[in-house]
Amino acid sequence: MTPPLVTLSSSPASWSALLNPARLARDLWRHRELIRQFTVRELTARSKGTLLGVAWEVLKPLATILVFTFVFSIVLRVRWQAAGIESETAGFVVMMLCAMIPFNVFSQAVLTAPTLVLGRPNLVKKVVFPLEVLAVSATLASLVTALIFAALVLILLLLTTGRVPPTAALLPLALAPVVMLTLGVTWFLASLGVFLRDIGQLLNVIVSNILFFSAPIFYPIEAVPEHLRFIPYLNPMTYPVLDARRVLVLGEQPDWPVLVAFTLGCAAVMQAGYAWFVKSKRGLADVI
Amino acid sequence: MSAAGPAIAVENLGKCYHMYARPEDRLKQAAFRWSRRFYAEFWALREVSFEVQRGESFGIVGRNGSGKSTLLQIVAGTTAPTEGVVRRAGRVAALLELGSGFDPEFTGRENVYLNGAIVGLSRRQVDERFDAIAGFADIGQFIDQPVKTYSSGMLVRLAFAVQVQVEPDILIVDEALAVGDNLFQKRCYQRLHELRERGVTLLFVSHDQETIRTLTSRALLLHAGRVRAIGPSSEVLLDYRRLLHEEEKRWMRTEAAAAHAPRSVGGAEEARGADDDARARRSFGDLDAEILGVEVLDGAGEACATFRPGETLVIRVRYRVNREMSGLGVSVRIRDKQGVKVYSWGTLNQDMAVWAGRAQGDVLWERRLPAGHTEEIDFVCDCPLGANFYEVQASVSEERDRHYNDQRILHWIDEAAFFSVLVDRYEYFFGGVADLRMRAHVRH
Repeated sequence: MTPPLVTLSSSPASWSALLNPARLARDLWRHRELIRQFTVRELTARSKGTLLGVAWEVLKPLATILVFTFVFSIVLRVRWQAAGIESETAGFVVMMLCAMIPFNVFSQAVLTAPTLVLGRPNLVKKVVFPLEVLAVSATLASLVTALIFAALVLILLLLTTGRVPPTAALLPLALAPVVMLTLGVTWFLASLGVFLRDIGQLLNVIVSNILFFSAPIFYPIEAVPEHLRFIPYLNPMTYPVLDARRVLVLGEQPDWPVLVAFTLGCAAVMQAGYAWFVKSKRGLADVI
Repeated sequence: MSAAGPAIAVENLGKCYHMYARPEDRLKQAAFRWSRRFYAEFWALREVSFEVQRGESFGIVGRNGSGKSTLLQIVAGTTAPTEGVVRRAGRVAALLELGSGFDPEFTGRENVYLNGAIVGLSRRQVDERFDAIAGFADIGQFIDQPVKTYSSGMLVRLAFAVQVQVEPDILIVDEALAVGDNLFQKRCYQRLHELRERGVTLLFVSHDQETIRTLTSRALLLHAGRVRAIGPSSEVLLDYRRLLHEEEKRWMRTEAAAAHAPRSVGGAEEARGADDDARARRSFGDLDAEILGVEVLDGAGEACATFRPGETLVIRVRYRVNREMSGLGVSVRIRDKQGVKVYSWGTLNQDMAVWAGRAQGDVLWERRLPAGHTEEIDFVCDCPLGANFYEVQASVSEERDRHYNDQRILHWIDEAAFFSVLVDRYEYFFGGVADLRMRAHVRH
């Protein structure tokens, strides 16, 4: 058996090679063991050394849900008023929480993206390490956290309305494009954050304020005046938020043509993020 | 490349760091790629070419900042070259900085699996190797404690244990092994020797000359990012030592404003042409006094290259003083094939014994010698050494203190002479490096 021959030179891989989805798939498959381990590590690292350990991963979203329920359905008694839907106050909390599921998938990973590589100089300089794994693990960890949150929301739904619509089984289809989008954006920001350290600050404003409030999470999209309704539709989070609400609470099918188009767009973002990251990672060791 | 090609081929390698004042200048540079320059260039490596054959052990030496680590990082693949190409054939394991892939919050066991995955082992492969890894690291119960509780020695042990389990074709080692206690270092070197015998190609960086000498057959001397010398390790190490000496001298000269200006070797008594050059390559010193020749002789005064334990061994050192001076010391040093210093002794040692009343004779240190004075000194012993091949180094120095506390090397020669010691298995035999001349007394 001839050993693998590796050539290291100053000319990096070409864009056309990196934009090939087969290469991305091969890369992910080859590093599956690393991805698994880093995802587990990402999830357990936060609670490492704490008394309750992994239980925190359930306690934290539970606390969020309880606080939201208390504030909005007991203190403020907000109602969900949209065309054709008239709900009791508990319905508002469920409407809002299920919209937060896709948003959480995105925000948790993306907010950590700028420090993903920057915070691990050892992996950049001291070990031969496929750095693209970090973004994948961050996204998967974010997905797992969001799924725990989703499970709790479903329980709340069952408790308040007494039923979970069968269309809830379509939730993975609504989340799949979000995962791809998250991965692509995380790849992009993970390398950009090394060169431009202000990204982290800027990102907090964009994600936690602009993206969160311009998506119809706290309000039905019909509540936006018609001439301004294009604004939420500029926010990519709007599409999965609406679909999550449809399949989990309203028992409706997703908006299929939009979902398909959105998924294709997110896949393109993922591929572009991957190409950008692999292309730029050669320079990372020189800056960190 | 055919199966017989080199394991590592480096061609015209260069690494230029663009020194940016601010990180965002790098982005600006990407935008204005050709029109403006936002950086200052620094070439950490330039025009470096060499080949390492399969199964060969290759060393890289050089001072701090000479580009050793950059070169290693490029070959390992953590840093991209600016120009030139590196070709590697085979699986590479790199011990660039041991333990750097570890997460302090996680246990040793968890980190072993993580590092195993980093170097490309599946979970099952790590399962199979885990006992061997834990056994080699030998850190007992600590394997299930967070790594942050480890001592640096334990950390290095665990990291090394993981890396050598990869069974690489090419092993790249930075001077990480300097940590860890002697027993562990010995085990590491044993392991490196084993890997070498199995045909693993070794690329090794160290400041430690003895390690390079024992572990590698060929070496490369880097200086200011360029190849200064390349060849058999012992020759390259000499170049390295000469380089160190030159720099030390330059520093001393600027420091002490040339109180003792070094003299040139004017008027050598015999013209020896090429031989002189070869000798110059193996020696250094200020040359206020100079070693002219070193011979190894037997008890009858005949040149001799092989000895048996107990036979008379004479090392004859011929030297000349080039200006009138006193306070001289002439010394020899004997080193075995593995580079271990077996013995060093000199005239001042004898002088000290005389002063202490433990020996009698002339005291060389007190003699004042005129310029041009030439003489020979015989160092005599009944050879007590074990079977090996030995190198003799000789030096003449100015000793400003009677007990070696203030020394200036005037001339030092490596590989001044060689001899072997053979042990006859059937007549007079012992094992090890030295004959302790033991006797067995039977007590009834």
